[in-house]
Amino acid sequence: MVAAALTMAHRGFVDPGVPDYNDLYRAHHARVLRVCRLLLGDPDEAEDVGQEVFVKLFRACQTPRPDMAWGPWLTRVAVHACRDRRRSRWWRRWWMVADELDEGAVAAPGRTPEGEVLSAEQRRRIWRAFDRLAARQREVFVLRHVEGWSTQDVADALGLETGSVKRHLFRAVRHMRAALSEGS
Amino acid sequence: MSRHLGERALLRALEGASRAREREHLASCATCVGRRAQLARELRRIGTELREGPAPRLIERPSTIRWMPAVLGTVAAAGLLVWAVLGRAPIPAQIADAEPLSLDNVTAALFATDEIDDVAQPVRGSEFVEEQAALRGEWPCASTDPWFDRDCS
Repeated sequence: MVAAALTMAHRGFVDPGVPDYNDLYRAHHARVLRVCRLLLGDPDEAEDVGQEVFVKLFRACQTPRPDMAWGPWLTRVAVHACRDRRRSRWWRRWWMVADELDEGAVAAPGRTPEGEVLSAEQRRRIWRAFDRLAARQREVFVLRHVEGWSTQDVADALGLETGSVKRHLFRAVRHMRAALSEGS
Repeated sequence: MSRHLGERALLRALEGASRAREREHLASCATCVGRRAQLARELRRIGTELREGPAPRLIERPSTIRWMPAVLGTVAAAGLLVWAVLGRAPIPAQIADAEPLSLDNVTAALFATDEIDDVAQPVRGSEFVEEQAALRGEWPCASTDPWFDRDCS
């Protein structure tokens, strides 16, 4: 069914009331993959989960939903899919430990929004600290400071109380700041 | 207020959820305003790096702390199994060759009458009149007064 509908969509048979899957894919694919990558820490798993998310998007696109905010919907679906993936791969996370970074990716300095140069060492510290965050702290931090959601939206998406989101966020921020200020 | 705001209060201020006293303090304390700006800058920096920076791949390796107990447990279990199979004492030949016990053997052993004569012999001599009489199926003192008959006391 999905394949047939995909073929129809590619041929241009799109109901005007139905959201255009291709537009949504182009607009959000990279961002959703990035969220999955941050939450899972593994590019291959992120790619798998990203595909699952866009299959769900494709199915959701079959029915007209004029008031749907697709960006937040996709992020929510991605966060939950990542959580399911983490649960199903608990044995791997128990068995394997990932405490080293592939240094090649962070060897070059980066640039901050203010135009400051972020040294390779600072970038390495950020990624290492981020990797050590607990799963929930990671979710909250990504939604609040990478996706730029409000605390209330984060709480709604994750099914948490606002106070709980603030607690997780505070711990994550303290951990990340401590890592960034190490040695400076 | 003389004390500066803590990290949690600064984060609240950044979220726009400061309490009244914290807002008052921020209105009059340049140090805390500067610290709040610094926190905002750092969070933007981290957010940008996570959003746009090339995400490095993590190098995974088996956790020694986790797999060592599992390996030790497996080795111990294998050792126990080997000991149970190979290390058990051999069965003596006469027991190994014996016929299996049947119900007839049990019945014969329980109701054997070969040694009944040995059992019927008096144990401590003829003065035990009651024992001998009982073995004969009599009661010797039934007709006499046991008070005057020493054998029936």
